[in-house]
Amino acid sequence: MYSYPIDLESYIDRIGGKITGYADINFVSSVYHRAIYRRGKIPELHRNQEMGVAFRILSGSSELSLNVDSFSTLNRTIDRLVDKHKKEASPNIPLAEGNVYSSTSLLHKGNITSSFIDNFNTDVIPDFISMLEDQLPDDFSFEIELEGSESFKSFHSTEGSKINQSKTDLTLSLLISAKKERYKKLVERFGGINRETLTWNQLLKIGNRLSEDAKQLKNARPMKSSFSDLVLSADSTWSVIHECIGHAVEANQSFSSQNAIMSYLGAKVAHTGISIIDDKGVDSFGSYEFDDEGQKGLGTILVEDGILTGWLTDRKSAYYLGSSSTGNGRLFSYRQPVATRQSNLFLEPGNVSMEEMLEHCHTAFYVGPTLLASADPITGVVSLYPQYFREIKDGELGQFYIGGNITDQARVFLKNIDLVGKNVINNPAYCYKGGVPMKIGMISPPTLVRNLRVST
Amino acid sequence: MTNEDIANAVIDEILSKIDRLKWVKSYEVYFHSLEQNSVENSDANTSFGHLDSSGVALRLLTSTNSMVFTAASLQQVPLLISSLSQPKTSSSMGQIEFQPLKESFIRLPLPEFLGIEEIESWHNLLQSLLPSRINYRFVSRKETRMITNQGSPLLYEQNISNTFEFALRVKPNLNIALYDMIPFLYNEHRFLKNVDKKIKEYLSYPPKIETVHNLETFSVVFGPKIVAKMILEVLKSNTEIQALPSTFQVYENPHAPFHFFSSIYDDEGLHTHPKELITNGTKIPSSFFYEDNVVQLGQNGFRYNEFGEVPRKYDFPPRFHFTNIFVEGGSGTFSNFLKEHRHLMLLEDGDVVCTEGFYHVFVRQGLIYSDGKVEAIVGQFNVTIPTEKLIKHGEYTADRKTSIIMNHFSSVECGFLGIHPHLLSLAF
Repeated sequence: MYSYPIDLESYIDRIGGKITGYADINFVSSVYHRAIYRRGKIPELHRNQEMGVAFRILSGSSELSLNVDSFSTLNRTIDRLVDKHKKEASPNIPLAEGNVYSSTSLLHKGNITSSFIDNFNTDVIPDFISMLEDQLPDDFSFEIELEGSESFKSFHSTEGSKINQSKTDLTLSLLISAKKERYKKLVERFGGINRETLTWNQLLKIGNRLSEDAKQLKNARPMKSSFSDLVLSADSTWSVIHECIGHAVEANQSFSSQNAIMSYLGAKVAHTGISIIDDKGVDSFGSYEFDDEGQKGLGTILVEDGILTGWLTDRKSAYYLGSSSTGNGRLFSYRQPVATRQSNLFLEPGNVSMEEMLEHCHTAFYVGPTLLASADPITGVVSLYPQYFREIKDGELGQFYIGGNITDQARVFLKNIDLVGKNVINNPAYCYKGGVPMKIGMISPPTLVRNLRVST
Repeated sequence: MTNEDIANAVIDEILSKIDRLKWVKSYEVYFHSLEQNSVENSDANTSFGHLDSSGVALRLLTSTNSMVFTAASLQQVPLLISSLSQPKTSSSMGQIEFQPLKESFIRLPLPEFLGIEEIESWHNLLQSLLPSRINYRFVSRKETRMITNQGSPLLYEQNISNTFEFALRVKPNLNIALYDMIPFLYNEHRFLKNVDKKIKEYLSYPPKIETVHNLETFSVVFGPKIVAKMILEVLKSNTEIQALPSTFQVYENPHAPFHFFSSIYDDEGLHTHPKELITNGTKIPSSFFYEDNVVQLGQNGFRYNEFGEVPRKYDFPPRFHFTNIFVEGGSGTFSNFLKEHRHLMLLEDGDVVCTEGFYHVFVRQGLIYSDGKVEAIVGQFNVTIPTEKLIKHGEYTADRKTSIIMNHFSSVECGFLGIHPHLLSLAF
């Protein structure tokens, strides 16, 4: 099905014969499709195909990462670098014990194909553009970005693992912004690894909702500072969880002892009923069978009934924590080394509808989807800058506001979650930690959070 | 075989194929290779890295006036070539042609590219000189770019950059780390001196992080990292009204020696030029396009992924991007500000968002000075400044300029911006 430009098995055998430590290879071959449509502008259609390998060699006191797509000089480079490092007598860098897997057949995620991407682009998008042209006021621009990828990965290690996996996905992001006031903008990304997430009905629903919101956004008022009860949309709830918990639990041996939220490991950080899981198996954008260290991607409970229970690890960070890998060693492309990253972050839903949630608020604000969110794991402070706020009065959504942000300690966000909604979104998200993008599933219901500080 | 030999062979092969394609009216072929050696030293271990990545990007104008963008890493070039046999379709762009490229023999001075062995020697030296609780990343990067279009000469350019980025824990087991990134150019003594100075400065800070819960009023000084982001917000905006103090004079120089983004050509092969961007605090109309699909306009077409922080690469079609920005003007000095204000806050690092009439600053790292000395380090909080107050009371202090490396390795060289007391309320 796929032809390799190099013999991966003989490479890993050759390296394994030279070193005393551990080595693995990730071979990655991908085709990226990208189409961008902007109101009144020329459409852009891109296709990019790439193929490369990421070697990781742990021998002696140092680690060596070799990330290449120029195979003609690979032999020479490996010989030069490996020969240099094999001479070191110091102990090898330790890894947590790993399981050895061998997949005889190709493990595949997603049911999207090249022809589906082509047809979606040529048949569906023109109608979607017409719909937006009709619905959106002239003083708003829009941008539709379609991103699809078909990737194949092959993993080999000196321990004997051999895993072949592939994945296809397609996402659509819609950005609507006021032409003269660029900061007035709405953005939503949807799609994923299944065709069912990209139906015409789904497009209509999102296009209509954002068009209506855009009309209201024109008359938005500036937000004022306050302490308020906030109904966080599913998107902004997920952003908070992703920043408060998701990044804090990504174990990194450098700063693991200096992580503000993780000093509460084993303690209650949220109400009973709040559970957060990193779930590789659920059908979403960040799904996979095996991570890029060849470890089975299992579900990891991070918060169980309000108690902070665990870390996400790769094999290296797991060693320093004295545990085994949770299967979160991931690489985005062959150009970067493996790092501990989230897969599909999932806040378990409650049993309250949005209407019921609004009825629990006398005076409060609804927090629209996220524009910008960030966290500092060391201080534990999280900032959320939403696309807009909406006033809630007597259980009804009203006036739009912009310009505010919510900044507080992660444990304040978590402790103050009062109600969890029952309607869950399952959207694709990209996380750009350290400048390296990663595909993550955004699975979350909305929440009601009491008494948070809104700053302007 | 050198990168240049490979590039020449690949481009020749592509050109011979394109010449036979009737559906292609004109073309642009771009080759980019990146070689990078690095060492990352953390608490637990040392990692050496070697990255070697090359690829080709084509922009093809069809006989029906549409454009096709396609790219491939080196190993996939044969597939790219075979995929060109079928005519491509895209929407019509109207009548458009690639401007012919002109040869130029100017070469910018470059620092030395460091092999993995030299990186290792630096690592050993730094291990012996630096405190044990410093984590660092040392990167040497060499990029080669070649471009041609419709019969134009093949343009060739090389960029080399070396960077040193570090994080220092002020005290063991304390919840704070201080970060900085220092470009290591050609003068090794200056590089070591800068690192040494910064570490000593950090070590002199009190080992305590403050959390302030109330609204407070401070004299505020925005550090170069924040000033740089404020300037970018102004440049990206559509506004042509004054948005910075009138002492601000901002220009772009793509030919500044030893700057990361310096290029004689942009990624469309057009000759770059220095130009003024902001005069007397007001953006010059049309000086800085923030259009996403500019084709051969403005000599600022660069290939980068807008969401990542990686440098220029072949994967993406050219978009508008600045190169090296310099900020002039201002007569104040940072030390005078310290003398004039017993209590002031220096906002060192954070993000800036600009809305109508306001700058919103999300501060990651701030220092509270009392009588000229750092009294406390403060964590994440927000500051909102009305543009009007910034214009009226802001004082630019150009005495301690720093070159800030922005994403995609462009840079802004600027100083500090102080605001007089009792004018700003900071929300913690």
